[in-house]
Amino acid sequence: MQHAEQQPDQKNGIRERIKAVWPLRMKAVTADWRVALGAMPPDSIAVFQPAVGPLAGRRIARALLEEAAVLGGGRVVALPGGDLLLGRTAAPGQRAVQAIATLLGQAPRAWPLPLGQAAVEGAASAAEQSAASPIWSLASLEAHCATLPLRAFARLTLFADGGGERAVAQRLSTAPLGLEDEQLEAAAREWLCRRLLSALTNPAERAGLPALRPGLRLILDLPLNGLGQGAPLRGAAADDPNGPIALLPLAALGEGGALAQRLAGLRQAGWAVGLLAPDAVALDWVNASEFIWAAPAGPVAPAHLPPRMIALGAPAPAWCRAPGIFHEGINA
Amino acid sequence: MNAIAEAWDGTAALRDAMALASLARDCVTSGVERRVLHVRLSLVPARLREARHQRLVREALAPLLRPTRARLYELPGGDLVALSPPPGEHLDETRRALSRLLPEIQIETLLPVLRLPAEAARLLTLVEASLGLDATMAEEPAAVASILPPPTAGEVDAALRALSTANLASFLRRQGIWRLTSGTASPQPLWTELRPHLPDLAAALLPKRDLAAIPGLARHFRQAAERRMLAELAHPQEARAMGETCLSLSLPSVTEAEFLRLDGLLGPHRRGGLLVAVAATDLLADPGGYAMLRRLSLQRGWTLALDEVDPSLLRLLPAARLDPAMLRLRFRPDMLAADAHSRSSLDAALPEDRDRVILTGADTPAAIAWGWQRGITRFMGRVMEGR
Repeated sequence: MQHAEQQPDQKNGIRERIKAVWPLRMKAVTADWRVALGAMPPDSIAVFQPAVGPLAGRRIARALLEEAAVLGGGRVVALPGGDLLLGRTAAPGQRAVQAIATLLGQAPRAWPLPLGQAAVEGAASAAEQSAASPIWSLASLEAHCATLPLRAFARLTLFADGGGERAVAQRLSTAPLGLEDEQLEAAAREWLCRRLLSALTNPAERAGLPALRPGLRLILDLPLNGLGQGAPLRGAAADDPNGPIALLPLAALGEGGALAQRLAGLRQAGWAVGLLAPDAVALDWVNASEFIWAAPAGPVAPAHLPPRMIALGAPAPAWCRAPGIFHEGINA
Repeated sequence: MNAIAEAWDGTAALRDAMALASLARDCVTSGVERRVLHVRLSLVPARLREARHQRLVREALAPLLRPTRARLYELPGGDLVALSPPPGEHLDETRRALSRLLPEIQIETLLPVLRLPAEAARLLTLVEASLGLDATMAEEPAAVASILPPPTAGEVDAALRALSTANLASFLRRQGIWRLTSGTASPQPLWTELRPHLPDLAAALLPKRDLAAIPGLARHFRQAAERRMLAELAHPQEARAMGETCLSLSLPSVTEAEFLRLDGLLGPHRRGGLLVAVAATDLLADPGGYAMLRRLSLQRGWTLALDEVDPSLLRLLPAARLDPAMLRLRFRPDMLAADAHSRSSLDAALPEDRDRVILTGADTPAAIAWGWQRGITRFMGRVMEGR
């Protein structure tokens, strides 16, 4: 690897430019936004995008606000609790609000200035006070997942079938950690799922798991990569309609030959196989109705409803009370 | 550009082969009779295939072609095929002339005569053989078990730090995406794909380590390389110089600050020429994220392509369901051996508008022919690079 200093060519200037730009960015973040807010001209705009939800969406929202600041004059102040656009002309800011609403499904708050100065001051002060979310590295997250007590992440949820209210199935899964980074959340799920499995097969650890209800069909979350060491879990006879269901992450579909082998192994051991989709939009896109599908249930039924589905989330919307759909939100 | 067009001339044979195949099919449907002389020069010993021999052969064929309505086709691999209406005495004469000219040539095996439409199947078989379309599924070479140790997390961290300030110029690879129809003379460039060459980069930053042994770390490394490339592109000067470009990125990289900065710098006009390709496996890992990218691409005006699609992923994500703006199908030689059923199910899963399909990995004429058979005219691969 050659460094720019050692290789004088047209790329040489890039690092210098980064160095030149970087301090300006830092200054913009730390400068006192109150002064700027007080000096906004008539017909200007403030837009506040709170730091909630997945990081990807927040980065896009910030880019759109920054674009509005370039187009209409003004600046974006990055605060721990969110990003504040102080735009000197209203139209680019309003367009950014529209664009963010379309992309993320939720419009950021916007105020005309100087009329809304007090409200902006309130929102921004709160955002300034809020604690920055912890930054995980892969290594620190792995260590965290290795030491988290079982009862802190092992979760048992009950499901009714169709129009019924009586529990017929139970899902043993990991509770999401609520990380902002989807990739890290997926990695954590992977590590915690493996711990869940090893606890199931290890009598000493099993006491730390929620007590399984006898007579209810078991739905068990599995990690993406292999089942780890130890004896394969026995399910039921291959043709038992009430045999347990193994939930594989949707990403397992991308594994080709390895998946086929794994499916055969699971089915031979008496497991029905389900796919766990992190977003219900996958139901519309992916053509794999031979699987049971587990997905978060939105207010509207998906266009392509698989024959058998496990609707996640409580309370369950009305469309989930149909034959072939397991749904949450029942009393135990 | 000229150099590529010249290099392409050598594969005009591909077009001849496709024309011959469709002519054979026409003869079957219309019942028109033809005699076919197949000059199997590809089987002639190398010492008889020098330029002067070629000239002699063509001179011997000339009397056949001139007075009759016969046509000469040149197949990939060097075989010549002459077609003439029956009864075809000229064909027999030419055949004898050729054997006098090159006594080493065995007339029965190297100069067979076929009759159309009766022997259309045989002709199609030999055309497909010349294209490599008959390739029985060659066993993928088993991944050579690496004897190198995997890197430690600390080594990868150090490599990622080095990557964040590295100059990627010598690690970037460019490859064209071309439009090539059976009717046009030379391929037209559509996009230039730009990507960091990961094996070289890993060898430079993690020497004597097998990064692929730990998929999670390899993914991290790939994303860091992509972000570095995007950071180098995201400068006004670079963005202004950017033509029609294809960036093959992992899904999380498209929402990183580096890409969003580039997106902003390009402006509406240049964004229209940007193709962002995200692997189908990334869609499966994060469908919600992919849905957001789709909305973003529509809003910003660049094109989102579904990348690294193979037949099994295509069946899972048929165009009728996903409706991708662009789809990059990866060609593999075993697709030639697919049976009629899997071929038709693959064709049905492709976007109806075949201009939305790019066949990548088009390294042999057989890949182009396979694409043309299903209306695909956009290609990326070694054939197109004139190698």
